[in-house]
Amino acid sequence: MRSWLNRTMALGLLAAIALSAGAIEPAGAVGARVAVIGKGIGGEYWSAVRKGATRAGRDLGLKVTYQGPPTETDVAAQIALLENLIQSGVDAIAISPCNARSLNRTVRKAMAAGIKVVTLDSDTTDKDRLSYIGTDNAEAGAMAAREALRLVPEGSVVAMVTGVLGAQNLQERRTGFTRAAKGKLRLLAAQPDNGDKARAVEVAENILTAHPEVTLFFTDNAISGPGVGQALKTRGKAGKVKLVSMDVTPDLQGLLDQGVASVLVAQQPEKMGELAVRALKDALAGKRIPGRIDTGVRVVRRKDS
Amino acid sequence: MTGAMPTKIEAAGLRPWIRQSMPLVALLLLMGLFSLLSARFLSFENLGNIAVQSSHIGLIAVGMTFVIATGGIDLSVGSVLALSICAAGLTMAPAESGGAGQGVLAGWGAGLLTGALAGGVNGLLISRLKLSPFIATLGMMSVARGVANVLTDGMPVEDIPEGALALGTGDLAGMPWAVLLWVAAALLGGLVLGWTRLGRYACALGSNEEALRLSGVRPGPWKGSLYVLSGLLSAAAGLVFLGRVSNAQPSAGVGFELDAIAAVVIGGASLMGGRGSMAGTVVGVALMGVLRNGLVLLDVSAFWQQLVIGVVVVLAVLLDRWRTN
Repeated sequence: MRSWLNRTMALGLLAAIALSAGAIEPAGAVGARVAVIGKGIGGEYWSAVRKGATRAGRDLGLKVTYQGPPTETDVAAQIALLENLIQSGVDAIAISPCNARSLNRTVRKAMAAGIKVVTLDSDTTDKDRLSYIGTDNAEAGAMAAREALRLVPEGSVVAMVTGVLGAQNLQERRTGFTRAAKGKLRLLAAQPDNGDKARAVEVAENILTAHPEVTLFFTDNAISGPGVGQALKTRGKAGKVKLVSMDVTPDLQGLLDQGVASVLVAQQPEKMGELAVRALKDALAGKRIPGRIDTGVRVVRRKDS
Repeated sequence: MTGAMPTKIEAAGLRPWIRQSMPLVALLLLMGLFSLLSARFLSFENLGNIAVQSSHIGLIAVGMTFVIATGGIDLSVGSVLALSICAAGLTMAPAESGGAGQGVLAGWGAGLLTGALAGGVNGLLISRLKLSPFIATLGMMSVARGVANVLTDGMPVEDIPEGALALGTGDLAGMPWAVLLWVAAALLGGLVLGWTRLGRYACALGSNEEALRLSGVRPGPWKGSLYVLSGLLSAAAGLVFLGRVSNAQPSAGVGFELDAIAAVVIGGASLMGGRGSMAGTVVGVALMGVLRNGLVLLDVSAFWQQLVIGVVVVLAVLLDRWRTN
């Protein structure tokens, strides 16, 4: 009895793996193998990247798989993933590095192994890849500033709440915003919430207390935005103090519908996935691809603003 | 108190070998399967990659084996790893990058000391103030992460000196330093667990602490020192990790405690305490490393990987349970 159980379970273990492998790898798959590596595997943003990449793969006859580390901070797991993909003999890789510096060495290793590599969503510091496909963050920030100027008069005081200080993409968005607002809006120093929505609420409340003259908040990411929105609601400032945020998530869309947020500047993750796979297809065909592909932004305004 | 308790103390002797062979069989089956499905699995380079990728969890799991043998748990290992690499990074990075510019060796020393100190606090809370290990290390999990964020202002410490990267990327005559460190820690840990008083007391603490006390041993210092060991090994794992990712992030190591605990349990340890096997732990770490690697080689997508890893962890433990009951 016991040995029967043992054998059944050992077989079950083997079957689980064989089945999962079989389910994903159809027999006789044609076309090159492309791996898309996100910063994470869950969440709306990465699902959109995956959707765009998978669709492009289907259209172009490539075999696309999506991979990612268990959490966005697990840099070592992302490096391991990239190493394993190099070993697997994959033909092309699109990767969004969890950390711009940490991935430099392994990206170089992949290129040296003859794999076509592009970065998407964010880039490596050494830029040893064929192309970067993503948002022009400075332009996105400038766009947000232009939207802010439609909402409040010139000379208004604007507060900025950011995620983590030192994150390259957020930095570029704030720089873009600051440049476009120069001489037209008075900007307070950006306050970080370290990617914590609860902290963003506190930061916004403190700003409202210390600077009652603030008439508009700019938040450069999808966590700070909802946090500030929450603070505006509880302080009864919704709609009176305006909110312009980067990204569109269900949270932020809800705030827009309620009139708490006025404008959302959306990145286009689905387009990133799609354009990355298309660029890799061109690279595999021996074509030259541009070193920088802008996926653009989409401005979502409240109907009455 | 049941009379059968002492027979559970089996860190040494023949029976653990039978028990240990089950996870090993599962590992070999898995490797066989992957070699059949992917021509690239069974290469020297690929197996080397798996070993390096597993080494930081492997180091943490060595300490975790002792802690779990006592019937305790250390949830703080991932945060202690993060705090240790931040301390190491701040000590060794040049002044322009906000560090103290004290060189690689001083940085490694600071990292290890930090890990041991954090482990020491855990040990005192548990052995002196009689907090449950779950609560004490849950607190440390948050405290260590908080201190890491305060020290670094939430930003990664960059410009880690080239010399410090050797632990993550360098090798000695073809053997990666990371793997050498893991193997040395596991061998030493196995010796201590099987053949020294500390190891025997660890298992005795887990199966019947009262009996140990009645035999004239003060359990507190022994128990506490095992948490120091766990903190120290988390810091050592951190130094390997630092070498691999080349900057010290206060957000590093989230979830590492779960990987380490899973590896120890796959290796045949009981979360109730009283038994643990270092060889089993090494096999457990390898099993998870092989799974992660093999599934990627087979182009299995990320969601299916999570599912399969979960199923295999549970099956491996069930297999062991049935064998031993």
